[in-house]
Amino acid sequence: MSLVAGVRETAIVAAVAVLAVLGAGLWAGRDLDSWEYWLPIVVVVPGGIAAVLGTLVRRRLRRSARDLHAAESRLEAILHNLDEAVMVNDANGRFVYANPAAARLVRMDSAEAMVSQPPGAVMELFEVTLEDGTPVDLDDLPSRRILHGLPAQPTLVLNRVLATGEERWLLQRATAVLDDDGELALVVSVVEDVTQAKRAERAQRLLADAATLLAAAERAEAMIEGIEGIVVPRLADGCAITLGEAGGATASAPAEPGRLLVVPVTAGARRLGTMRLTAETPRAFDGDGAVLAEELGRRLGAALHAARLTAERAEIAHTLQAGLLPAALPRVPRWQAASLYRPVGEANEVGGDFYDAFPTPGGWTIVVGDVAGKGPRAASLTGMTRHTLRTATRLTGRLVHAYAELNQALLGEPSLSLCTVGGVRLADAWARIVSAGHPLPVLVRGGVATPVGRTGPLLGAYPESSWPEISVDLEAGDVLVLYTDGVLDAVGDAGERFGEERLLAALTVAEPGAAGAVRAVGEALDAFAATGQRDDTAVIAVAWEGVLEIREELPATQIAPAAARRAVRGCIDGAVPRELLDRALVLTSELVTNAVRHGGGAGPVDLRARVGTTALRVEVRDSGNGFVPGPVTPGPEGGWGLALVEQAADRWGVEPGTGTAVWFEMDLVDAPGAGG
Amino acid sequence: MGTADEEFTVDVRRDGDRTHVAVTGELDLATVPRLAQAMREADDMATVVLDLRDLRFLDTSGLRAVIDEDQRATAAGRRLQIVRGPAAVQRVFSLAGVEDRLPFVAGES
Repeated sequence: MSLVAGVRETAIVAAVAVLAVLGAGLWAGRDLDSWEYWLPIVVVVPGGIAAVLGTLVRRRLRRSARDLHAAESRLEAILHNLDEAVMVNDANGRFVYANPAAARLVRMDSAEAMVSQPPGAVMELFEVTLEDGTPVDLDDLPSRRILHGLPAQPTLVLNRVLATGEERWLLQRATAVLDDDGELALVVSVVEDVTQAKRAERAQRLLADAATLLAAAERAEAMIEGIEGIVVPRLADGCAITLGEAGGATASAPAEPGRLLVVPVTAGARRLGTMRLTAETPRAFDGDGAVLAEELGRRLGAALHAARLTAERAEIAHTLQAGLLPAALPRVPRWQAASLYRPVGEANEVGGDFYDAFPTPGGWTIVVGDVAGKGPRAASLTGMTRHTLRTATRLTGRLVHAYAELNQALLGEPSLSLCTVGGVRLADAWARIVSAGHPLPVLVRGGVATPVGRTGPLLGAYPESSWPEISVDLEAGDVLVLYTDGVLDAVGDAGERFGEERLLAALTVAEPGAAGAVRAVGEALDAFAATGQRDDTAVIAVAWEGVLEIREELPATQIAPAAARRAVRGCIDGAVPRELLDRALVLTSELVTNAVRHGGGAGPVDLRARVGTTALRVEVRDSGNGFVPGPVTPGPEGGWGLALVEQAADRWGVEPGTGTAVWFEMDLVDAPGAGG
Repeated sequence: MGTADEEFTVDVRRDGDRTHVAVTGELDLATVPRLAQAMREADDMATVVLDLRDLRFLDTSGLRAVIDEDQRATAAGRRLQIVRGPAAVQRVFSLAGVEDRLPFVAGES
């Protein structure tokens, strides 16, 4: 009701009163100027106004009271139906009001029962702790703090009902209500049960921790221990995980509900084991706890299964890798060989490095190479590469042809396939270097290390390619070192590259021989890259020992053949295969026998034997006037010896001169399939 | 190490109706005469067994000597049996193409 209306009414009433008085004729005959005229007006008008005002006020008061009463009712209805507990205490701590939710919270039958309790009595029914387990002093709760005039923050506590062991997570807030003088009149507390949300949060964290742990662990033992560590004490007091399909065995502990939980460890449909959780005090293994444990069982199972697959794959890769390398370096006559191979990376990562050594027409071939990439595809390409190099070089005798073959094969692959190869062919006192995009081999001679050769393009990149063939003559003691770029790319402690300079420096001071060279490179790498290799590392060193030769002069007597055999055996025994040695001795005996029987003259028989990389040569010269060997068909006169030479030697011939020289040669490198 | 001459031995033994001639060492230009001599001493028996098992070396000198003995025995109506020697020795016979033409037998003790 507005004041304006009140004024209107007042004005109407006043006007009516004035008119009434005037109308009553009291002033008839009176003088407008006299006080007797105005006195009644002065009395009546204010009185009328007061009467009207009084009515207005009374009416407003009545309406406010009705509104207030309605408001109180609505408020009570709201508080009554709230899930949150609402409590109001006075300045002395006594309960003024509590809603039914509050009564349920403290396990009282009704709000009235709660309110009638003395202050503090209610809280004795519970054990209250913080999230980490430290007990909470009740004076630190928000309601108490407010009561004592202290500021208070919302507080999260774990509340355990002593009687039943039940646990709830409660969030408490409190506010002060001040009276008109600014003094504390009431404390209003609101307590929210956040148990569901809190449990969900802890479950999430537990699963996240489990996921992190399982991702980091590599072995089954680590996974199992890790999961047991997560379960205890967060989910249970004890946890035992066993693997094996004999799962659902009976529990050895008494099966009290809430004290033992058994869940399977599964990977898809396969059962891998069992997880047993035990609790010393009754715990909530119902609902949430059981679901969580089952989820852990599934995650552990999946991780174990993946770990097993990884281990199997590593085994396969290891087998593959072993198949990419020759079991041992073959024995090349007159060459010493030594090697070093260090694959890098996890067992799963099959490297692309390879090396190989095989006999080829006219000598031995050593290759070292690197197929780009890692993993099974690189491994399969590496196998193909090694096979192609071996076959093509054996068939043609020349590495350039093999590179051309391999180049075409790689270009024909569906996706880009690149490969570098460094190859050398070894012969007598001679080597030929052919390199396709690969670091050049190093020649170590008399303490000086120099790269030799010239490189052509890597394989698998350009259809039109050619590779220079560079020959180098060798002296006894020379060492050729082949290696993969993993050596050059090794990273040092300061982040720098090992590089060619360090390699040459290491070889300069290496001990003599192939083993010395390989050892020097290995030690230099170890000293340089203590943190580990970046790439596969392979090093092969071959040292030329020089041609093995003997020369003897034997008296032309009947014991000369035996003496010749002894001399030749002493020279070549161990340098050639046994069967070849036997044949060589027979042929030597034949030549010397012929020289003694047919050579004529009393001069000595000149015997020379020579073992090189590819062949053994024996030459016997008599001091007679030279005889031309007859037909090699054996007959009564003889000819048996040369018939045998024809049969058993790879080449033979006669050289006239002072006396007659007959020679034969036997190859130490046979057709494909022979060797080392 | 001595010469083949010194290491070469021929052992002649009579056993019932046959003569055993066992050779040891290397049979070449120098030692063939001694084999020939021993074989002539064994002429009295109808069967001669030439045992090559302990022979360490044989070249065509020895080969021819063995072939000669075979021809001599045949001509005289005697029987010659040759006990095979080690692989290196037999290889010479086969390289010369005569392995099938000589009366080789397996060894007995």
